[in-house]
Amino acid sequence: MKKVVALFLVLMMIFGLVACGKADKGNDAGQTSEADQGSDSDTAGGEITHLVMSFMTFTGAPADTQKVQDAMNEILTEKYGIEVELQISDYASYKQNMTLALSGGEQIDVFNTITTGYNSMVQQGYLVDLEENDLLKNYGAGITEAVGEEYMNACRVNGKLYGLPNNRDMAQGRGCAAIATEYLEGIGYTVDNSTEIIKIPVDELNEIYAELHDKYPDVEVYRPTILSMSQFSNVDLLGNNAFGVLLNYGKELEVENLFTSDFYKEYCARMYDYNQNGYISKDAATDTTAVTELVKAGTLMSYTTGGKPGIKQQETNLCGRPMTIFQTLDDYVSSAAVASFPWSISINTVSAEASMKLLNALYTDPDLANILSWGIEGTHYKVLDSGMSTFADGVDATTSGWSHNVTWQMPNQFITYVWEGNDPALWENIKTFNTNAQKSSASGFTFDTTNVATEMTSVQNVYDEYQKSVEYGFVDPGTGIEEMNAKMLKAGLDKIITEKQTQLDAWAAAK
Amino acid sequence: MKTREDKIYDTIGHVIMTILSLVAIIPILLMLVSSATDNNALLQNGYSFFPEKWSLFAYEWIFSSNSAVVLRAYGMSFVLTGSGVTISLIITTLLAYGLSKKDLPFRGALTFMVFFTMLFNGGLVSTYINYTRVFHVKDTFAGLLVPGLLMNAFNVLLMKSYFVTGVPDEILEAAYIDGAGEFQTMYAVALPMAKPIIATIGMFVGISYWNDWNNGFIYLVKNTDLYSIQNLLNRLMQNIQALSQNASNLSDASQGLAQIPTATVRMAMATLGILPIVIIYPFIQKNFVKGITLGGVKG
Amino acid sequence: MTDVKIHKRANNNESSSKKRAKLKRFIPIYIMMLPGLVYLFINNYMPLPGLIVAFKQYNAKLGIYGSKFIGFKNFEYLFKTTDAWVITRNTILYNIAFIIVNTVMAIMVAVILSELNGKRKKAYQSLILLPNLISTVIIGYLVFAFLSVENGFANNTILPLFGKEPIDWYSEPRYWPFIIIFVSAWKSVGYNCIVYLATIMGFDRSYYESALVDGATRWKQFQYITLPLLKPTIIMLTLMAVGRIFYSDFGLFYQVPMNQGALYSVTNTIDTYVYRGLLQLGNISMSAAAGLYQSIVGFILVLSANMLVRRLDKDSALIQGGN
Repeated sequence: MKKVVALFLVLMMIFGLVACGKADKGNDAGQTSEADQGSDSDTAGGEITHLVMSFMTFTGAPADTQKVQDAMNEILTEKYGIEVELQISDYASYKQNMTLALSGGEQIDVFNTITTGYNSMVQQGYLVDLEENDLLKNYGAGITEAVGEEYMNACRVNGKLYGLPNNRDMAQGRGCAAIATEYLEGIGYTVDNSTEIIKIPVDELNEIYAELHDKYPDVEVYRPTILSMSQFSNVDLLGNNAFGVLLNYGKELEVENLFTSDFYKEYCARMYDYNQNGYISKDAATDTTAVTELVKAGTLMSYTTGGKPGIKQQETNLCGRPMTIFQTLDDYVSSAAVASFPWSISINTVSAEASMKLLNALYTDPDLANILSWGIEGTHYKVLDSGMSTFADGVDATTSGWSHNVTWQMPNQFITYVWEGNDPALWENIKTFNTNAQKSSASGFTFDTTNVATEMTSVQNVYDEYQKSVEYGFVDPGTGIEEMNAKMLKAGLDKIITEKQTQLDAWAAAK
Repeated sequence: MKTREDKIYDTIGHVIMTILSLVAIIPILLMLVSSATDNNALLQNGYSFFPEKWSLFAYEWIFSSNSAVVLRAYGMSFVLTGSGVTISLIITTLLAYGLSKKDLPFRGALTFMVFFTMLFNGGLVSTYINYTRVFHVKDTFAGLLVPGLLMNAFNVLLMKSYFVTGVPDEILEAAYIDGAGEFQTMYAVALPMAKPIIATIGMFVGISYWNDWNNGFIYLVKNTDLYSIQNLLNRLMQNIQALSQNASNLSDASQGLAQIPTATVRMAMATLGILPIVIIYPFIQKNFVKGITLGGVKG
Repeated sequence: MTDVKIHKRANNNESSSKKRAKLKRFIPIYIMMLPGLVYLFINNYMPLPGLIVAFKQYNAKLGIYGSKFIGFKNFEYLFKTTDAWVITRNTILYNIAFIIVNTVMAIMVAVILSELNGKRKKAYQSLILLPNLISTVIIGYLVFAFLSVENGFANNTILPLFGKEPIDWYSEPRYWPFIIIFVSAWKSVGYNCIVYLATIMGFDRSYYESALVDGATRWKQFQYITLPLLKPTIIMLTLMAVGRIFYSDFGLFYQVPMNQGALYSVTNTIDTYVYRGLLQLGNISMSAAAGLYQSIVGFILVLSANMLVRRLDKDSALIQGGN
């Protein structure tokens, strides 16, 4: 008996110790010790603030994250009295990691709102008002200068600024189709290689498709994706959903029902024709393979994409064969484009001032921006005589410890080197592209879903149910759209549209 | 001595089981074959048992970019499953044994307490806050081991009912009369008789630890060295999917992305996830069956 | 049986201290149970107050407990929808089908396996367990390999054998109840049969020996020995499944039909509906509300079912009641 009791007690103790030991170790990553660490480890300054900065990559933290962090801190501690800790998650878990960490009171100071949904983050109170106590004015003046007042204002929610837009392509070339060049040559179409994007009317595109289908009947002509409808439209998806939209490039502030619009009917009719003509695979709605991969495998000729400077090279890389880009509509900056993934300061920050200083540094200091984008010079990248950057000697995309592919997520890539293989004037081209594009008059409007949450879930389910069959042209639009619209109205689409219009009017009035 | 009737029943049994085994294994064979198919051939002709072109590029790709990580993740999965099953069996058996005592004071209330957890939980956010703020399991091995999986009410109640029906009171009573204490009675009398259910629960717990990737997703943020194989494979899989669907953002990534054989990599990953189980399962099963049959022979 | 006094040696005949003595006698038992109870307390009970978020308009600044109380507003979206009936019906009907089909299959396999011997038995057992180790995402692709319109085996190989026309599987809801029930059985039979097999192995062999002496056939043995002895296990597992009747395996209803809109009438369940609706909104209060709703309905159903069982057969009930 005693032996058994003793054995049991020993087991319990081991279990207890193991658990405690782990809990202690866990403290390293816990919030309190992180803050302590910040003040303890840097005895030099004494006032150095330790900040946690988060963003996502597609593969999680790169191998050399620590090295890059050290390199950033060399500059940051000396110039700004800040020490940064990079907390990088992968795409799939970023949203959950951030929501949980912020709900759980963990220290996150500066982070990118990508995948978490900027608007819903604001609504649930995760973000700091960046103009409170003149935070932006006092510590972030360089940011406004780097980004521009107009884009800053596009991130306002109810007049308050919770996020800072990053510098990237804000506009999107609407109505773009990528077609593999070899098939175009096959039907005797002469490709004009001097222009990156060839402008044609949609009828001409239809003709090209018809010829492609005649010549290559066994290859799928066109494969729609879930984004195709908005990419191939002049519709502004207010608040990032299709329930109440602005038509005609958002020139008027009039919220309309997309599903009864002429545009939608025409679009779906065109897809229905494509389907009737046999352009689209019967598996299009089920198959999840990326369209670029299908082109690469030689089973597909064309798909829809969003135009921008550098698009031809990008699609060519992705498809592994030369691609030609056609555009049937205009370049457009939608109402939600600018504020789609701004940088923010979380309510769990240890110091909003220091966080703003850090952001300011990232927006204005080219050395920091280059480290964040390309890594350490000599280790990860080198600068060529042309003034462009490329991989350092002996390093490539797979062996580099800092090749994260998310430079577009960084605060200000316009002050970094242009990567070799691009147009040397890439940043200038993007700026021009943004400036020349048509702009939504609702730019910066965000939709607060609190009052219509029930309707939103219900209508979203109806849309998911019909979207593919209607927008991929698998059902006759004459009956399909009608059926979907009727069901949506029953689910409360009207209420959402009315609510959106009310909010939009109030937004316009406040402006 | 087998009668004719026995032989007929045996034959029918074998036929049914052969059919069921084939149904179980055919899709898995397809997975195996697809993982060793050339990606382009797969996209062109669809999934096939007899691919036009074989290729191990999917495996090459996984190992060339992650070989050290893959091996470490396998190790982590074994350690996790081993320790998870051990601790889980100890606490589950002890609790279930106690609940099986018919005249235990507060037995009904305690059983209800256990049962209640089967239906209600505090939700992800509040569970997360509890584990990270109070118990600091974030980025530790405990984050993989403890939350959710260590014990569940289903297993406790299952085992309790086995103790109630499979271990007769008379036998326990005899042990008490011989002067054995509670611990000794349980250890020497009840446990050997409960071997089948212990082996079963051990198997259940083992499978859930091996298959789990959720804990890693939630509790391992910075310390991804602790990833188990399922964490690793699931993350790779989801991110490849995301990568190919967000291609429009990826001017610098496009070249690297075009290299990934996404369709076959998916199948290769699933294969890698079950491979070790297939290899070591016969050994586990040997002991499992032994456990069951030993338990079956009694009084 | 229930009133057998076990610990005669410890009996103290003084009735006043009888209760205390009884408690004291069970102290070792309580110590044994402690680690498990502590774990349940940590894992399940400590986070439980967080359920209150289902009644709040969550705001991170104010925290779960400080957020504004808004009553049942977060639950509205589960009922005030045209789909409420479809998702509830689908969830319940599929679960009933799973309970019946999977139980029958599992018992059948367990009984067959228990009567076979040797190497082949082991092989069967390992092979049918394998599907359980594969994630639903992959299962979705394997199903697609069979049912793809252009390249699937069903359309390209199997249907032509019978001279049938190809079928557009992913837009024909009528086939999917069978496909989903089949996939569920395929995935879980190897797992579910383990419990029954273990239980059968635990039976007293002497029952069967005397039955053999009496010349009972195998079928008679099954009918009069195996099945009655299995009854408590069957009832218990079914009761537990009833508690989960408002839940659905998300992967099975989302990944396996490839989230195909045309199939929603037979694949949309409470879990997939909530997922689709909240993906955009990211509202943790509303998702907590859905979970609470599922728990409460399951709780009520399982308690009612348990009460019924208790009336019919006290020993088989999940919770016997009593002290």
